Amino acid sequence: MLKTFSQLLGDDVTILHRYLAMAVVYAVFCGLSLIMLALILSQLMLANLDQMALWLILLFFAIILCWCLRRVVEQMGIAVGIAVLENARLRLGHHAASLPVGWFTQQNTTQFNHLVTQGMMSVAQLPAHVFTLVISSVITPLVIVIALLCIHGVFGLIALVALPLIVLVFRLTSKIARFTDERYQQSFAETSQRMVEFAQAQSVLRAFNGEGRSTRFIHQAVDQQRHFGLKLILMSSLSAVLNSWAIQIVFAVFLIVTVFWLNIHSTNQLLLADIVNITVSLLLVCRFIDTLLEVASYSEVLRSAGSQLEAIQQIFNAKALVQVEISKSPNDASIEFKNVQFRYAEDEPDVLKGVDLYIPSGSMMALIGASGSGKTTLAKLVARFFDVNQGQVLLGGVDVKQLRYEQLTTQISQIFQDNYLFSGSIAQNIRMGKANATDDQVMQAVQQAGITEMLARLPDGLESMVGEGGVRLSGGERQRITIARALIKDAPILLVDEATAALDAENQAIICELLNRLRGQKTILVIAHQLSTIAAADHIAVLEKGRVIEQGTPAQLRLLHGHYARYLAQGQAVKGWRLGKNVQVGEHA
Amino acid sequence: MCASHVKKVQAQYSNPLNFILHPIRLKLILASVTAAVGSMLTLVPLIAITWVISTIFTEVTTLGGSQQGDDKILWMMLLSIGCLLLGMLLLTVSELIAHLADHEITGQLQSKITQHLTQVPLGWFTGRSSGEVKQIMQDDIGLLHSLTAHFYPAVGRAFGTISVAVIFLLMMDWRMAILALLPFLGFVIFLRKAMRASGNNIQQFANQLGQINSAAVEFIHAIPVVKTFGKSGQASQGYQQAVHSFANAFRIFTRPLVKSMAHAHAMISPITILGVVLLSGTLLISLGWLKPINLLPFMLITPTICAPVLLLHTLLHDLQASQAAAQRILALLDTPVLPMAIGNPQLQIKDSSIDFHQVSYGYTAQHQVLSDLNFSLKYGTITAIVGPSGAGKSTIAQLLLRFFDPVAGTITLGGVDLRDIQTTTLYQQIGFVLQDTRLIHASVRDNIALGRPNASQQEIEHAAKAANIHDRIMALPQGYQSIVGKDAQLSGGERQRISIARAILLDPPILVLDEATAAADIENEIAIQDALSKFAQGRTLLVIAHRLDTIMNADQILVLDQGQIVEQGTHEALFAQQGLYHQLWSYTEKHVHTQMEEASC
Repeated sequence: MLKTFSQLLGDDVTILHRYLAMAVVYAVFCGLSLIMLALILSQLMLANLDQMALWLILLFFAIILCWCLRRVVEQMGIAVGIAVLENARLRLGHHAASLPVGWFTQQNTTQFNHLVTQGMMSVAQLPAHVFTLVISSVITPLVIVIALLCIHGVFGLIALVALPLIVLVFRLTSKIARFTDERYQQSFAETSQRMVEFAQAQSVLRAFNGEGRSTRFIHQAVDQQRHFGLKLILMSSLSAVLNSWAIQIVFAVFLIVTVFWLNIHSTNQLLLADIVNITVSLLLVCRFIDTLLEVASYSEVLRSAGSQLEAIQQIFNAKALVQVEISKSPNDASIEFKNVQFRYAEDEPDVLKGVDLYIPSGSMMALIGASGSGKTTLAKLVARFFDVNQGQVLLGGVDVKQLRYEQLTTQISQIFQDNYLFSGSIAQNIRMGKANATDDQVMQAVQQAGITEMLARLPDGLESMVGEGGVRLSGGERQRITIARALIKDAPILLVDEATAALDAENQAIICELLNRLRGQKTILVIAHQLSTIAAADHIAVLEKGRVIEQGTPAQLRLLHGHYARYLAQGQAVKGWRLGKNVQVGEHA
Repeated sequence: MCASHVKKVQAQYSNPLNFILHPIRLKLILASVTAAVGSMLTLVPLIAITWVISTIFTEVTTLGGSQQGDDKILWMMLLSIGCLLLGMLLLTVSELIAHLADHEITGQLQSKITQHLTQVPLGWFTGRSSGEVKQIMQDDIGLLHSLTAHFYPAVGRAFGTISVAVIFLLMMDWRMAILALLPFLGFVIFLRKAMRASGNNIQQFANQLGQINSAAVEFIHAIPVVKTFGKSGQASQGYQQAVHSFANAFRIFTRPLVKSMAHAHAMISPITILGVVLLSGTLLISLGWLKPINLLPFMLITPTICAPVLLLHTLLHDLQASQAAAQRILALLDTPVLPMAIGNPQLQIKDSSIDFHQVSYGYTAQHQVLSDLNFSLKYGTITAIVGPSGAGKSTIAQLLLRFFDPVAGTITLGGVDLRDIQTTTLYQQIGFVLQDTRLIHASVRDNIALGRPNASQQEIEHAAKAANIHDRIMALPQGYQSIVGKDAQLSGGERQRISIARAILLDPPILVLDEATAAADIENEIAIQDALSKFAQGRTLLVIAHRLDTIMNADQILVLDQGQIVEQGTHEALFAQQGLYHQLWSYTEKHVHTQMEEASC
């Protein structure tokens, strides 16, 4: 736990170390003051008043010192908290920014958001609110054990033996609770997922609620969560009982020993000193027991903090792509795949199984194939969303791994299904592609992306705000803004995923026009869906199950009478489809 | 949840927490009482020790030896051990009762919210991220936990401990008791000072909290985009700023707090308490008001007050969060729902025709999505709606499915207003295949049988076959039992076919089709088209068209622009008009040309 905490703080870890050291000093000092206090009490009871004033003054200063130390520790704890809130947040953000684009899945981004906000908040409060108390509750009993050994041997020995036994019980109970807790957390996450689904799929759930039972999935999930929740309640109650009873049994042992001790001594003469001795010992025993109970009460908080830290650790464990120190420059705008093999995770099957493909500079390559054949993955590897498992992806003859990210991105414009817009104006979003673009260039991109009309409709035109609290745009409209953003960048290589970019008829027409215009000027790799696009391509590659099974010019492939030819025939059939009565194809052409 | 709404609710329920916790209040009271009794019992051993030692001490000092019957001490000790263990047990039982009560109310609230949300207008969901919905249903309800499960036992505990301790100490020696309890007064004073100090900055702090939330969301979504433009630094800027200003707000918020809190905490640490007892005790002893042995009960019992007081303080801290969560939950439960039809038996649905009569709809008063629509879908005909994106096409489909009610005008099904038809009846009449082909994280079978959970395997397979997806399902490792997203990774086209199978199984006389987009690849598209053609026969069909060529043969085409029907008629008639419909065709015209070239060469 402390290890993750240290990693979280990075260079600021010294703050943590100083705080921890101070907290230990504070705890030891409190323990020693307690012992001094007990000794003063015994002198008082023995009516031994010599030097009492001196002792009391000493005690007074000790308490003042404890007080000051407490304040210092508290301030240091807050300082650690602020370091977490400031630098650890930045560090986590910085780390996330270094991760490959492929890392940013829905699940990972949700997790990141949660950790950076609530997660960090609860971690930041740990030192000031939990660690200080836990540390002093752990150290005080140790100091007391030593004192007891000096004052009253038997009591000391009991405490000495009890400590490891209690630690053992703590570990056992925390194991019980953790096991149930893990299952509960899992069920909690599943239920949360169901709730998100419940909100997202609400339209479907409603329209198919003819029998009033489409909410049964969320009910089931909630029931399951409640089931594990109940188990967790019972288990943590059980472990709480075990913990407190274990401690109280130790207390009971002390009491019984006291009784026997009194019995033995009452047959002889009981000396005043003995009474005082046992009184002081019992006072220390009470403190011993109380602090142990306190440690036990923090077990739940510590457990949940531990799981937050573990989740943070997992993000840190994700590896950034290795960057070369000095970037090479690509010779031209060609793309080449050399025996590329790729899988998304170690335990998953290969998505690409040895792809060889060459796209000459300035030519247009259309990728076709069934869904799941690896088209999108192939395009994403060019932009280094991930690194290949085997083989090479070359840009202008240079391995993408040999290009620094800044160098790589200047080479590539991409039109994928990422219609994410920043909160800001439409103009700002478009200029994202080229910060120093002139107004004319922006207007040109706007026109080419077909948003002129849409802008006319908006009250503030290009200056309309989008993103949270901005204007309501449809998916197609957002996509068109991102197309303008990609266009203004004017990179030598253009990657287009037509299937996802062409959200509606207008977008389809825009993409079509775009490809026609840029053809010959840029190297274009397009995941093609429209027959017109395929026909316009210089080269076509047909993918199936992660392999290129056909490639060549459209004319060559048509003569092959292979997959492409069949694909064409199917495409014709699709185009001719009408709802209702069947009519001949292409009436208006 | 909009702020004004929360405020309104705040005014409505003077204490939202009491309102929410009403069903379990008896259990919570029981938990408090149990905790109070338990904590009283745990003090018995300390009182016993005090008694035993005082007695012996007095005997030793006055009589020079102990005369105490041994049995009495033994019984006393056994009794106190019994009380101690019983006390601990009661404390745990109290926690258990409170946790079970929490468990009960959590379940009630979750199912109440679920039920409520299935009845609010669908627009409510579009105005919110799914994360917000989850936050209220899961996280906010979780926030109540610290209140229901911990607060009430803690109150009982504090009450039990403090009352017994204070009464006992006062009985021992009232002067000493007052002095010994002074630190607690100091604690309260410092605490109030801290609260006041933080109260001034709390609003600013809350704002910063909101800002860091949205900055984090924006940052994490922006990184992959920004990376593709090679400017990672730019995305981080907003995030960095939010982090820094949050940290600053936190500093400002805590600075005055830390000092007072540290003093407050130091005030009731055992060492301070014991120190005060000893110092003031010595004073009283030197004045001759107190015997040294009478200091013992104060030394043993005063520190036991610390823990419950501290616990209570921590929980009071959490109470604010619970309070706010309770408000959000109540505000959610207060969201107006679509009025439910009582099911008037006199209103008979005559046939499967639909009429829109002067229908208008807008999300807000300023933003009119649809205005004054009049059209009918005759039984057994195909109607297509076309128009540029943003014209309001999908909204028509959503009104028909009663995801929300029109602001003005009426929609009738077989002559009956949709608002007078029970939702279950309505959804048996109207099936839909929308663009959003969302599948539920459940088996393929459950997904197809979503609308008819009791359908037989044969019926389900029949629907799947009609939707051209049966063979694909059989190829999955677990067949129909494969879990979507886990055992079965389905493409967009395959998902679409499953959602068609889902509608086919429902077998509704009216079908709303938000036409498949280009998301599918060609092989899938053939299968989908084939399935739809078969399915559409003999039904009243409303098609939201994205590709014009598909709907050329519709009986009626409605051309929608900015929420109004601007043209209406058959393909031939509209095409001849040279209006918007013609213009829309020109987008695809070039397309068809290329197509023909390709086909001809």
